[in-house]
Amino acid sequence: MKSILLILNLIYSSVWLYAQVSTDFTRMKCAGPIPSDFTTTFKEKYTLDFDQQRANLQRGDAKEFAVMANYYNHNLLQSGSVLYGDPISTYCNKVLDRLLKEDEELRSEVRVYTIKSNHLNAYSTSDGIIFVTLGLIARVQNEAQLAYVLAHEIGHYHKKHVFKAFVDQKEIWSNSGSYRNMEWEERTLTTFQHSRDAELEADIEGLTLYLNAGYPPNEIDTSYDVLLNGYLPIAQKPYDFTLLEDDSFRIPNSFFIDAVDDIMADENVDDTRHTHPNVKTRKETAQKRISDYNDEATEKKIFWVGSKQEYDGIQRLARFEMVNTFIRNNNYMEALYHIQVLQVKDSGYVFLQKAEMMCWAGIQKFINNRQKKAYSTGYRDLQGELQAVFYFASKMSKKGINALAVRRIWDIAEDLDSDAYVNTLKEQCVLDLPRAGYKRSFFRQTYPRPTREGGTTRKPKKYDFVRIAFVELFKDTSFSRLYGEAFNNWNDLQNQGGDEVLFTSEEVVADADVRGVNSYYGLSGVDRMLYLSPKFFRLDFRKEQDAMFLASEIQQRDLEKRTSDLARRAGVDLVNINQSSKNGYTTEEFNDFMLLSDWLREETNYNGRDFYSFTTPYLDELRDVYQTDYLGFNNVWHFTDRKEFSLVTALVSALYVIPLPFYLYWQFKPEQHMDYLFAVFDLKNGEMEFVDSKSFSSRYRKDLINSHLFNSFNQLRR
Amino acid sequence: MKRVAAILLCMVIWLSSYGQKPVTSGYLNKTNYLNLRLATGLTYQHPGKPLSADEWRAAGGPTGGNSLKRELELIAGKVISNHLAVEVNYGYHTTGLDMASLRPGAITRTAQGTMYGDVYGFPKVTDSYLGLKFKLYSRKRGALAPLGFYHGFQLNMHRYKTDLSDVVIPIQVLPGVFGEYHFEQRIWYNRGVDANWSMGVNRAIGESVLLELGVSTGFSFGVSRSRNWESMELDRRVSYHLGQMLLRYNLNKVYFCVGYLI
Repeated sequence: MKSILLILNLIYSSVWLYAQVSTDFTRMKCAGPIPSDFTTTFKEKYTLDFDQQRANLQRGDAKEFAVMANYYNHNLLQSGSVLYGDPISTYCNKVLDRLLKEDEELRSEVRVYTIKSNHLNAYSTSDGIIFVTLGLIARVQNEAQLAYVLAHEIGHYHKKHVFKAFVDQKEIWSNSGSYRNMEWEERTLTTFQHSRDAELEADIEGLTLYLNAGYPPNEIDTSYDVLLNGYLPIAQKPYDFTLLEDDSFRIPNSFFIDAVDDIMADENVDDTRHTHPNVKTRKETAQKRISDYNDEATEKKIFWVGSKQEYDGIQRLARFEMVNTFIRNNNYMEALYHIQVLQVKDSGYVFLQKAEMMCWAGIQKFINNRQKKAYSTGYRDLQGELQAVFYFASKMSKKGINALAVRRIWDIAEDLDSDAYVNTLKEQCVLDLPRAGYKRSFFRQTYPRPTREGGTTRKPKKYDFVRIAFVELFKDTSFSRLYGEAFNNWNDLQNQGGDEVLFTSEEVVADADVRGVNSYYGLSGVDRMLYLSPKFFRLDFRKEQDAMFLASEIQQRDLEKRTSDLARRAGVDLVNINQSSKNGYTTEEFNDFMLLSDWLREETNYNGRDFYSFTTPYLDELRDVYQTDYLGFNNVWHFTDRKEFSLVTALVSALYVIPLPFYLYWQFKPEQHMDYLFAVFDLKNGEMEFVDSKSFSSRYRKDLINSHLFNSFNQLRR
Repeated sequence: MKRVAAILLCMVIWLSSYGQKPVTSGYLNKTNYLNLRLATGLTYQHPGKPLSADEWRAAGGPTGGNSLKRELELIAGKVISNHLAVEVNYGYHTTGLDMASLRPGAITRTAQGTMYGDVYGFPKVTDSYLGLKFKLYSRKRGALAPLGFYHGFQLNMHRYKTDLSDVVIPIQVLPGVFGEYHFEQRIWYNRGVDANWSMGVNRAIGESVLLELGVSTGFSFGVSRSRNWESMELDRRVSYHLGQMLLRYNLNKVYFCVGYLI
């Protein structure tokens, strides 16, 4: 018996070892040395591509290609949304090892990184990076399917599809050669056709690699099925609304959908205007290729480069991380559904419980701000079980949501250890109740009341069921105290003339109205802060893209240096967290940057609302490490464009002759505009406490930007 | 004068309440500056020597012309808030005009009695002035004092010296024969005030050098003890009139400054 227990224990341990989703999961991080893709500047990448393509393309086209192939990918790598060295990327790279075991040169050129996106997607770049998304890993059912996707992307890279597509597009839209005098519509369709051809070519190329690596042919079709259903959640499971109820509290049936729509993914959809062929065509092409292929290869059935457990582990990791992404994007209804799907296997995870609390808190906060659409889009376009969740959200009004949110948050909190996060959400959700339009006595009186005659005092109303939502909670003295406090605070607030003081963004706007600029100096005495490298965007609509992007990066580097100097001069110690080009930049720093970047995205979606975000508790450690409570960033945009022609002014000046030279100068002088933003967040509460935002007509002038930067630091330091 | 002082006081109070909330940063914490301003503009003046009566007649009317003047000014400035700077300035320039443009009339009263004839010649005017200027830096153009685009409002107190040494009144001694009369008191001092509006741009080079380019225009008004022109003696009248006239012409300027930030 003991040996059986020991074996079971070993199996259990190994499963958890490979599963990698530990019980204290919070978020995924990068690991290992930082790849050069993340530290190389855009200019270096651009120059390399430009030099390579100069032999094949005209100078202008080579420039354009070098920009197109690098700029957006470079920004993606620098955005904090891409993981490297993490278990998913590592696993995918191992799959690449297997797929390319006979082509070392090609293997040395390709590498995989993971994008923190919940959409199912993968794509390759012209320099051999393959990006996979969390949504892809969460949905593919086994390694073979993943291997096929990766092999397809290798096919794109190997066949140089990015470059060919660029050349092809140039030809199609240049009105020359065989495309001369072609109608716009015809050109569009040709573009799509060429894209579909490339996809099929990548399919065939990938299939060869896939089969040669010994992956089973029968997973090809299933890979396409995963692709076909990629718009659906990771699993179909009816949402259990009974979690929101108890013995005495029931939600009326009118809030639940009678039947969800069937899943109608069409294999044979008309793909004339699609960049990818429909699944039926792809399956047929693949099957034809498989039947042509050497039977010997099809016999092999190697599924795992590691083990099934390891694969399941990275998939669960992706599925857990998806929760963070859903919440970061305010996609609370999908997150709730997703969490419940995950809880079927992993019910005891504190992370999932806290995530559910955050979803309800977010839903409550948004509906109280009259922004239901921020989390609940129309349910009619959805299919499958997720539709029931969105239907519920669309039918439930502010009163219903508030009651349910408070019930559920307090219910989950009972199972969790008390900490700052749990306590804050518990408190906030109750303090927000008056915003739903309840009166203080609403939850303490039940209607309709019975009469002696056996009838009721009035006709039942739709939200009468909500009145008994807190019957059990009122027995908790801390809840009763908070409930009273919420309504007292609300009354005080109303007496003070409204609720605007709760909204930082509205404060800023009000201040802006008075002062003519969007500046709000709510912080002082700051002598140290974390800092994200400044962003500089130069958009000259009169010039080609490459000039703008290159100039942007050069000026961004310059701005980065000047910002540090000016901060030092003003007495503010800056800790630049994402200066990836500096020597000795570490993965730890990149992870910290990634955390701050996620946090900023979440905060941006809350748009300045007084809200304790899901990522905020993770910042405590960061505050200790860097010895500061503040995070600052600044962006500078410079736009240049031609001035619109003014016929009246032209005629008047021509008529009077003397103003003509002045008019000509004015007309040909380009419009130049600058936007300057400097913002500082308080990491303790997530609020933007300092904004220096200016929008003005001016050329880009270093001395002026220096002056503004110094002034911003000076206001902070005073 | 009291009225002017009251207006100035009101302006200071209004402008200093303009932006008190944030701390004043100046340019990299430098809020004081010294400027040397060179101004130029078209002025109606005689470019050089006085004309004789015959020359005047030959010219067929008032002489003089549009020429570029040179004016030098020393400025001490202080940034009061992020969008306001105040400057004190001292300026100096010389000019002159052919008297033919001033025609008191056929009958001319002087200290020596009544004369007949027009006034000719070339009085020299030396103008020195002290001023106060408020510069409002434009938020719309992203300016932050003392950098960027501004609108300036300035008041200058002028003290001008008129030298009438070269001014003559031709006297017809006999038909066709002219003699010349010279004023006895040839140096006169007068005062005047001008108010002007300017717009310009400040830029910085390095950390301390301040450059400025701007244009200004305005109007002048005299400060005189008596406004009874008819009873005023001709020499006094000429000197006062000349100063005022030249001030008016001198109000349109283009200027360039080089300064040092402290």
